[in-house]
Amino acid sequence: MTEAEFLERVEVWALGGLSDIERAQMERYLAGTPSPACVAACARAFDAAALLAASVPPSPPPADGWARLADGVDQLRAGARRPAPSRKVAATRAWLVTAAVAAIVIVLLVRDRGRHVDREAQLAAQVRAQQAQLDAAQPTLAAVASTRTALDGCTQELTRLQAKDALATEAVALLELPGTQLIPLDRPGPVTTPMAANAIYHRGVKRAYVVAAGIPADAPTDGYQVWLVRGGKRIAAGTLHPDQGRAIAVVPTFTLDDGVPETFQLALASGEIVLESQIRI
Amino acid sequence: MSFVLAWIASLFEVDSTLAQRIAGGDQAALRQLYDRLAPRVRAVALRVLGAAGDADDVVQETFLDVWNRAATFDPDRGSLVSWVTTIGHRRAVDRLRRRGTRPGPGDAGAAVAREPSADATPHESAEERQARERIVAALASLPRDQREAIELMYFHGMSQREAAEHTGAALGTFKSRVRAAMGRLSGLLDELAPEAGA
Repeated sequence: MTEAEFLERVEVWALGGLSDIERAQMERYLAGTPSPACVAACARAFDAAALLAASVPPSPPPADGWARLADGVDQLRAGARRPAPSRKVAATRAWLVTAAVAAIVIVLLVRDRGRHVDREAQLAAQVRAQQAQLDAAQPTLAAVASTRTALDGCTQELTRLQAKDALATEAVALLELPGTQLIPLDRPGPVTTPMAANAIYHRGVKRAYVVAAGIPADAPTDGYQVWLVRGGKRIAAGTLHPDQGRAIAVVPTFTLDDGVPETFQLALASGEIVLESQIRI
Repeated sequence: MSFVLAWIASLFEVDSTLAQRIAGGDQAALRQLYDRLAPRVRAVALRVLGAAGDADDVVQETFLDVWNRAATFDPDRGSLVSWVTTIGHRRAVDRLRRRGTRPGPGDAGAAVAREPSADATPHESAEERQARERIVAALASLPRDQREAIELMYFHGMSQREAAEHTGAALGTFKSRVRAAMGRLSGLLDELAPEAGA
């Protein structure tokens, strides 16, 4: 962005008339080394826009407004990952179901790590046993091929579980960072199945995980496509493959130069949106 | 009138050390700012969203944002009042845009049908009311197309392009109206500035 472009847009920016992409461009320009003229223009534009706000008769918040805010501040101080919950209408029940499932998902992820460790130990022992069998087996071609196939199968499953375990470990570690957001994905229409998903996102880390639970047994075998929506455009961001009703995917690292992602979506291969976050980041 | 101008100027001269105190974890400072500006933020949110519950959520989110980001406030880039107001306004507009509601094509003129009200409310002092009257008068003195242009974006959450299409004006013409209107508002700031601290 040039200085002239910034100056041309700054007043519209102050009035809220820029798109999200344009707004992000303005903020990035200002975060760089803007000229004194740009800084001054920015200050004047936002102070002038504030006069519009000052033209509206003030409206005091409800009596419990400060108490709610203080609770939110206390939660932030205590290192909570989310601010105090806001009031919802109509969609509150679906949101609460999603949040409850999210909590269950996290617990299952942590618990599954333990199970996977056991399963990995089992498989590692099988690998050793089969390797030993291979060494000890009479060197007939068929026997070698059969054992090699079994060894490869176990190695693949072990690698898959190790990868999945690593993702779960990373996701849990990210949850423990201050500033991490847990973003529920909601079904666009009425809630009909318990399937739910959450995105775990930290702006500084620029990495996100999408965790899904309650995936029906008849889910598509090719899984779900994860999309990031930016400026109305979808960008492919990984796939979720169900495993016993659960799945986790890492969203590839992205940079702010591409624009700030707005929402997370899970979709079928046909394009039908299954779940979508209502919270923008 | 000098006390009115001083009060208006004080809107833009709110002690910026408040931001430093809030950044340092001073909850009393946040309370001070909340008591001062929450009614204004709520008023804007209510005007944009038209629903008290949503407006209250915006107030909550705004001041939690202020709590989280107080260290990023830069007084060279606008007053603390405009910074907080902007955060609240943006959150309200974002929420409105997520709803997907907009005035329909038949509502041309709806943006200016509601004249800014200078009526007194029980929640503001006489000085505050007179200050607001001054601002309302300045806005009312704008040509209709200029006032409509800025209000469609500010209070109805439209993008510049959407607002231009809504008024039927070419984008270039619309931009000129916005520039002229903001120039008039900036002029009001200049009128107030010499009286600051009087």
